[in-house]
Amino acid sequence: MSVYEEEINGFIYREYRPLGKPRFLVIGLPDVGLVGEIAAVHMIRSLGLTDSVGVDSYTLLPPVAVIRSGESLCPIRVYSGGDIAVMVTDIALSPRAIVPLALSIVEFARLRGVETLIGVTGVANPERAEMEKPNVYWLSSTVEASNIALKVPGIRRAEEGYIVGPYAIILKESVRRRVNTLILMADSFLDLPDPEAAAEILKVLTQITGVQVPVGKLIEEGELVKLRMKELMKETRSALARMGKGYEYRAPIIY
Amino acid sequence: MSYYDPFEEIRRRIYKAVRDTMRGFEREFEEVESLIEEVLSETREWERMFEERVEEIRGGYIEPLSTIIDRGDKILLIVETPGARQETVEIIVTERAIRVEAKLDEERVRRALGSIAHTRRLTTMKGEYRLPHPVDPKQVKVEKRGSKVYIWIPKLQPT
Repeated sequence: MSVYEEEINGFIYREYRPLGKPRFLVIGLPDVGLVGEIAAVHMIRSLGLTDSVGVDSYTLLPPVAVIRSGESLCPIRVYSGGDIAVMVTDIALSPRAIVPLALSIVEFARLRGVETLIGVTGVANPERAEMEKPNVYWLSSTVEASNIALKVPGIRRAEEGYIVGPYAIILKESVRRRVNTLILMADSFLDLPDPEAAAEILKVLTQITGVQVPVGKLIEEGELVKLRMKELMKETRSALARMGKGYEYRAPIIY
Repeated sequence: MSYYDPFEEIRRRIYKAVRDTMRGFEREFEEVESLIEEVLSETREWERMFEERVEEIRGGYIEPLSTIIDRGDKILLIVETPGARQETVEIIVTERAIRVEAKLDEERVRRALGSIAHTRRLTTMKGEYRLPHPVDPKQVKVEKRGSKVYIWIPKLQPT
């Protein structure tokens, strides 16, 4: 019953319910502290977004079908409602899948006329254990995207270092293709699910999109979220090691 | 005296074409080899995680996530114990390892993981962590913040 299907970079995007014309596409892929994943799932639940697009690849993703209410779903999905669409995945991404998926996301956003792509992730900080409130940093691909971030008080532009993984490819490809992309990163534990970091990002997203995402319940249910995300965190930790995440912990050579 | 030999020229061109083709093949083989290596290492990793998970399901326990942070003269081990009944958390520290065990709150586990069959038999959370340095077990300091257990242990100084 799909209404539209197309292949982008080896990934099939199957639109089974109308995506609409979202202005913002929020990407929550599994990465440091599962910050993006937790934030994306919370947005989907609290805004009551509709499962609209399934993303799959029979060669780049494990042979997984997600079963919900007896229905078979793709492991990566886009939920939408009004101005917002959110991409989320049920599985950790293998390093082989990262580049083609990231490229396909940018192309999908471009084809669907998304105004701003927002990647949400964590940045591992050894001081996180002592932090009451994680800081939020941003990176952007265009002046327009920078202007959006500059309007939000209390967040800082990441000045130097490395980012490794899907968001690095999304950012570089967005620069190349002139797609407005913002990457939001919160201080996080590297390998423990961090709902508090996700909550800080959601507060920033509320200011950027104008769509109120309440975070009280996320903090309240943090323990359940951590329990539910435990296995994904383990799988992601293993994938992070293989994708060269270690680069993020060294200083750039030009100073 | 040198003279132009068209057959020598043809021979040189043929050798160059063969060399270029062979280099192309080598590059292709190297790429395929590295892809196979990557896939094999991924498969081994998945196998290891699968075995761990099967072990946990068979034993009716889950292993908590943890992270170790080096703080100079101390080691900080953070163990995430969501779903555990906090009053049952037990920590055993030796010079080289820390063992954490707790009883699970079945209601919270069911709420988090739903009614997937194996979750119904999960009763315990336990994990053992090898430490990167020998530590002094008598000096251990434990603090619980929500579902996180912070364990600070001073490193043993070499005598």
